Amino acid sequence: MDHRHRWTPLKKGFPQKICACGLVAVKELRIGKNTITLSPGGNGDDTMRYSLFGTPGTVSQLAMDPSTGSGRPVTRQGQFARRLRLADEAIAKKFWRYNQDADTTSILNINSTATISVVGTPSVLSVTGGQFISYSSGGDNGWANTSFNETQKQGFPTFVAYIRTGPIVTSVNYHIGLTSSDPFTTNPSMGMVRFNTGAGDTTWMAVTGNGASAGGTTAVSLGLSVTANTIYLIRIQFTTTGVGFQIASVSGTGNVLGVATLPVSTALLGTFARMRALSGTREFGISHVAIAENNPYL
Amino acid sequence: MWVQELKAGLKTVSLGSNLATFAGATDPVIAGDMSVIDTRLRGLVSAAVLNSRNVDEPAALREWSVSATPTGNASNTAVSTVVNSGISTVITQGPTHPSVPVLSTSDGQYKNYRTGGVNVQTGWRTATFNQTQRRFFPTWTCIFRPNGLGMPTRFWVGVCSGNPSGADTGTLLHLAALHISTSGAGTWSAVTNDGSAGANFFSSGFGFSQTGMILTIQLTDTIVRFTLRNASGGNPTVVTTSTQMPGLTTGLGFVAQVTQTSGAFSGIGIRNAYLTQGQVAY
Repeated sequence: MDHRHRWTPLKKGFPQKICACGLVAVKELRIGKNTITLSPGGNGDDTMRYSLFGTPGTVSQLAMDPSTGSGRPVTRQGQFARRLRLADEAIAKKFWRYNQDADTTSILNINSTATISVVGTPSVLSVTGGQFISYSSGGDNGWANTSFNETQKQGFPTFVAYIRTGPIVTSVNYHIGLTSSDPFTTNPSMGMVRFNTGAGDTTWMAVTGNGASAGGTTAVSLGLSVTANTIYLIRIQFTTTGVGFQIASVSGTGNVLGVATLPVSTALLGTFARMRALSGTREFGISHVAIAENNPYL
Repeated sequence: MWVQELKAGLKTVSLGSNLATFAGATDPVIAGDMSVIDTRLRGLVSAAVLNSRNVDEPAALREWSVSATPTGNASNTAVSTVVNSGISTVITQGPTHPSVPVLSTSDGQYKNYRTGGVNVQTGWRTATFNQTQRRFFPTWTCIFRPNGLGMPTRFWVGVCSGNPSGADTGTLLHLAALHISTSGAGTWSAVTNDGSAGANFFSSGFGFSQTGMILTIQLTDTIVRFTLRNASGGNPTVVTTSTQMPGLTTGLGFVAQVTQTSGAFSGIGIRNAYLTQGQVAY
């Protein structure tokens, strides 16, 4: 939304003005075409209305997203601007997750009956910032729903994973996200974060695919190098117009939105969070994976 | 570039190009106040300062919960069950109330427990005390209702490295919990311990009454914060300590139990317990 007010005096002798939209304002703060309007009355009683979205750059800033599908307050948390959760949001979305069961190498399904297949030798890894199941082997390591049947792009899923790299990040192939088939061996419909040294990756990559064997995969650098023994939080958001990626560590940041190649809208997608050792033995830690669906509202 | 800077002393609220900046903001003091402190938008809800959550926070955080199942309506006294979500080792301890197994009150519905003899413990606790550690930055919340008014009773509600319910001391345990030993009077103590023989007891400022309570305990690398409210809203109390905090790497479970120390019976109603972990600022 890009709302431009057209003010007319409310009443002769009063400071207030009224817009055709019904907003009554005593103060309109303007920079170019951008406005913040303070309104103590009218359609929008006691409101502060933002005309456009501004990205909070520090933790003390507050913006509003005036797009119709959002309307949320926005603050800065850590390295990213984050839209705020509204009071009834927990019941407005379908939500499921897979947690490491505390102090064990077991996985707990929450609101999901999907079978998560595990490969690699597991052990419990506790470090500052969380507890993980650390998988170790000279082959594949980690979790996957090999039925690939949890969601579809048209369900607007958001995928989140809380993972930790192992002590060696050379000769590794990480793929973490939602996919229609095994990304190590096929060209799936997918939205995933990748770090595949075998493909020449030097940073975390945002990868999307539409299932076509030729030209069906797009990979874009997230601008964040891969560090050993580091916790990363990964968010992948599927919308009508693109796939948004965020990956963050304590020390780094990266953000790409609108990767062009989209998964097939109706392709069934499943959880995949694995690392393939390309030589030697490699380790990969997973704390939890969570997915929210019916989430067109950013 | 700011269009308007509202200044009071050194504090400012600046309105600029689609951003409002709250420099040096303080907590809201009446409903309708809004501030942004650190990463959170804050408002005053039922007299308590509450933080906003971010839209994907349930996914970004690791969390689990234990809930008493709903029983339909306020007059339904059927026995409810306890449902675990993301936690595998919670046990219910001791007998439920023989005639009121579900307690429906004006501040909510509780699974209702009542002891039947001296030194009997009842309520919820983890079977093993390894659900979290302080270095994981956990926040634990429990909604409960003490029903031991007038009876010699010991309550422990909080996170701990073992079951403290056998004594009033918390000796040798790692814990951050709320405690009271009462015959219907007194003030809840906030208690921390790092495994020492003598725990750190200090007043929460929260009086004992037979009403629902919301207790939130936040553990970070530098502080333990207790927040107490009435479940019906209001009467918020916040106390913090950095003394004798649980060990950073010590496994912690939780307890929400009552122990009858003499007399006929003691009781506790519990609605839910909820833990989030991993609140590193990503």
